[in-house]
Amino acid sequence: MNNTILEIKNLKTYFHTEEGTVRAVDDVSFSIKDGEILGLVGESGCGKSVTSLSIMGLVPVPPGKIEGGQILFEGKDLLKMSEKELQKIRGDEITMIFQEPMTALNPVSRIGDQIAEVLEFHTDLDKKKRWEKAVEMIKLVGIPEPEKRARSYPHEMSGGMRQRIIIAMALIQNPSLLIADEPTTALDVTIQAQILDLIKKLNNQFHSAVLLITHDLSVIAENADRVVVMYAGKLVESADVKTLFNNPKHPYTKGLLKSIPILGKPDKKLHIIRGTVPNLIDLPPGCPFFNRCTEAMEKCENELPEIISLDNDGHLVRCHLYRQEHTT
Amino acid sequence: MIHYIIRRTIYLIPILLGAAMIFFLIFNVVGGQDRYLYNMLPKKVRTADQIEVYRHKYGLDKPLVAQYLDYVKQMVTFNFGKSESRKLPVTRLIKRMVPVSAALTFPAFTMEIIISLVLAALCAFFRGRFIDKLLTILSVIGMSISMLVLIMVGQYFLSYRLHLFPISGWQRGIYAVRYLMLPWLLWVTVSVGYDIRFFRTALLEEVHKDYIRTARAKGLNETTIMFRHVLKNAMIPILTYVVIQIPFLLTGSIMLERFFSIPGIGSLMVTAIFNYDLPVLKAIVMVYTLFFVVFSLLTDILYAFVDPRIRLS
Amino acid sequence: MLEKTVSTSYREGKSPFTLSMLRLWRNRLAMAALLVVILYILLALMGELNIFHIKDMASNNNFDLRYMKPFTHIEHLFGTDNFGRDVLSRAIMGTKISLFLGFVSGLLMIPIAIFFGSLSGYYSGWFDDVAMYIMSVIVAIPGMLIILSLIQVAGRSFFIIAFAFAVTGWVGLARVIRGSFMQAKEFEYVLAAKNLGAGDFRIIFRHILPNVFHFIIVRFVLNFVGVIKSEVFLAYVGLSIIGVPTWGTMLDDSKLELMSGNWQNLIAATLFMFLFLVSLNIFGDALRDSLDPKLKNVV
Repeated sequence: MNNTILEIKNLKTYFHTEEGTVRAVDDVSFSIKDGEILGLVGESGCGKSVTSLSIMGLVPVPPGKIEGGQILFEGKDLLKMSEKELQKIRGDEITMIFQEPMTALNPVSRIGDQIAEVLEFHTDLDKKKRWEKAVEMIKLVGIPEPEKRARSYPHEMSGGMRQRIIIAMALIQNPSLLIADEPTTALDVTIQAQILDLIKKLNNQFHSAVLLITHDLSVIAENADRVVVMYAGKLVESADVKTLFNNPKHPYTKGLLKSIPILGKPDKKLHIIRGTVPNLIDLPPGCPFFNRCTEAMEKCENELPEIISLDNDGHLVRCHLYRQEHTT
Repeated sequence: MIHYIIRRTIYLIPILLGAAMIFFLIFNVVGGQDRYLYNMLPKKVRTADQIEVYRHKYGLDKPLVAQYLDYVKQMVTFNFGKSESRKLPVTRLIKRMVPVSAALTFPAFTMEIIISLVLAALCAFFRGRFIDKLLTILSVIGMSISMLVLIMVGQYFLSYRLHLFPISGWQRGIYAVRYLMLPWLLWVTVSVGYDIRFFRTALLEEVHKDYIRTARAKGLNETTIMFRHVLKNAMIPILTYVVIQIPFLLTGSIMLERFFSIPGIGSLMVTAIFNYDLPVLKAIVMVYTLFFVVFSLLTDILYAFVDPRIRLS
Repeated sequence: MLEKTVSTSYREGKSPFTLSMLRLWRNRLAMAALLVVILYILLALMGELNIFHIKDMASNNNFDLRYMKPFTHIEHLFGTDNFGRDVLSRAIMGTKISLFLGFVSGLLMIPIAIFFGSLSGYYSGWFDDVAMYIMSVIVAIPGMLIILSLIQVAGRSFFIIAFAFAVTGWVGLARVIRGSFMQAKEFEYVLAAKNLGAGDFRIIFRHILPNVFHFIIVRFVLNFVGVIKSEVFLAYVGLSIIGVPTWGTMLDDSKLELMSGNWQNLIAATLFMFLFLVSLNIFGDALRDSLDPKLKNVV
């Protein structure tokens, strides 16, 4: 149960644009264990989506390029695999759910065909069996009248339904890792909860590990086992959910947690993290959070802090504040 | 669907009336009728009395409105009378020349579309690579050469010097192919440049859409993505582009027909304009407009066929 | 607490148009093409001002020097034609006509297209019905038939020809503008402007029209390509402007001269036209790509 299924080591994914090099993911390392839900949090543009695309091998090249690091999936480096080998893994062992269900399905092809297509490439089932399995899967993700729905087109469905279809597509081959990139951002609040419940339920049922990417801390609090916090392309803190929410260390994480509204305390003023995310093209040499940090010290401006391990349970933080404790 | 087709067919009537009106205005108001009469008549009858006789014969002494209505009547009955310069019933002329033009344009157009579709798919598949860049450069060059230059150079070298094709001329039946080979070749050369670029853009616009990323995430290989997903979606603009050009095929290619002495609608049209042969022009306008409207309707129906999101209503 | 507004990575905001122009500026091929176009304009000016006697050499007959072969005499680089006129000078004078035709037909066409496109897209209703009707009628007649007939009945003068191109050319642009207006009038920024009390006139001209500007400018550039090619066609059927050298008439003249081995007209007109059209095509494409970033990253 506790085997590491995916391990990312020092991943660097850069985008070489006309304006300069964007270090979308810069030296990020974390791992996902079998069957767990790992939350990846951060503001938009902090590199969470690029991380997931890097795992899938779907970073658009050019302008994007993976400049270094390793992505070990069951011990094998995905970055060293050929496109053919990757195609075997994609959709079969690693699958993905996207943020925008409205555009993520092929508009001119039937739902059932689009789901069955996964089986065409990853199994030897004949056409009829594939269709039957697709229908079964549509039923499993909670869509009524699956036979009829399989024959309909994406535009005949709501966003929530489409997202369920994409989940069906992602889970039909019982993957070891499911990447859910902001799966609920584009949906109504009521649907959001349903979709997350579905993901959680299927995570139990299929024992797939889930990399849940979101900017919404409440989604993480409810669903994830462990959390990785990213800021400006860098990992700033990582811990299990309880530790992170009870005992955040990095000033950014603290700020994030303080900015969640608490039900029943309407008069409590919400915390604001002042300032804006620095431009990823010419990052200052020091801590990327320096210009917004309330606890910034002198050396933060010019010296990028190392990642420090705070305890034996994998609570990591990238901040100068904790350097002393660590070394002594 | 049936409703839609009926409504669109009825809409044909005002379009035809409008086309006739524009045409009527150009020749009868902009140009002036005297000029028209003068140019139309054979030299020996260009005397004042004769002109008056002809003015009455063609109904040009009636008020303009009545004349326009006459034109409409001709359209309804499809009886445009006799061509003044060729002394033949217009309907017979048109019937004889449409197949000639079609023999020139349809095979050429089919070849053009097939070739450019294949090349554009190559470009889109190997986008950014050598073959894509080469074809892009070649199509810009193709778009920048005048057809007249190509015709002259092609005829000079391929026919006159190398004797690969007859210089010009026409024969009925299957022998026509001999005379059509070079015009076909020139037609394709001139048009593939535009097509490749259009098709390439249509394909590449799909390549960057979200659902293609989903297809990749499903583990599909690039060939399947290209043919099953990209091409199927790009078919929508491509079909429109192709079908909407079909009516133009009917009027033939004025340049090719005149240069190679192919007796088609294109060369008929030009001579008719020069001779003020209005009966012929009226018929051409009507046939073309009919064709155009029918084919735009066909495009819409095809659209609904390819794209499930569209419901005709 | 550190009270210091650090703005290390703050960059001065640039308007989308400035960014587009920057992109265009960085595109070397496009800049080279633009340079060629500018050279052509200068050349046409030189011809018009009769510098180096270009205008005289293009029109003065000199029967002692008929059919001089190209590249044999330095004073007549491209040779001379049937009447002993310098072919190079004639090609330069042809540049002026081509530029002018493209320019004038573009200038005539754009206001018509903006008028019909923007009003019918913005108001829908009866105006839209009427405009759509006019447009469908014009496209339903073969364009060349309208152009040829107009020139035939109204005369082979410069303005008639430019007008004929404009009459058939505006429909495509008007449709694009109409489509953009129909979309744009639902956009939030337009609704916001409405809420702030902006009048229709202001919304059309200040808020929506700038967003379709790129269609117009690209169309204007590529209109030259269409017009120059059509002029050749007109010359071929004998309906180009009378009495002045144009690339089309030069090509048409060469039609009869080829068999006797006289290539000078063909070579000069083809070279002039080809280089100009390639430059226009390249520049027009680059302009579209830089103004419409949606397609920019299509690799």
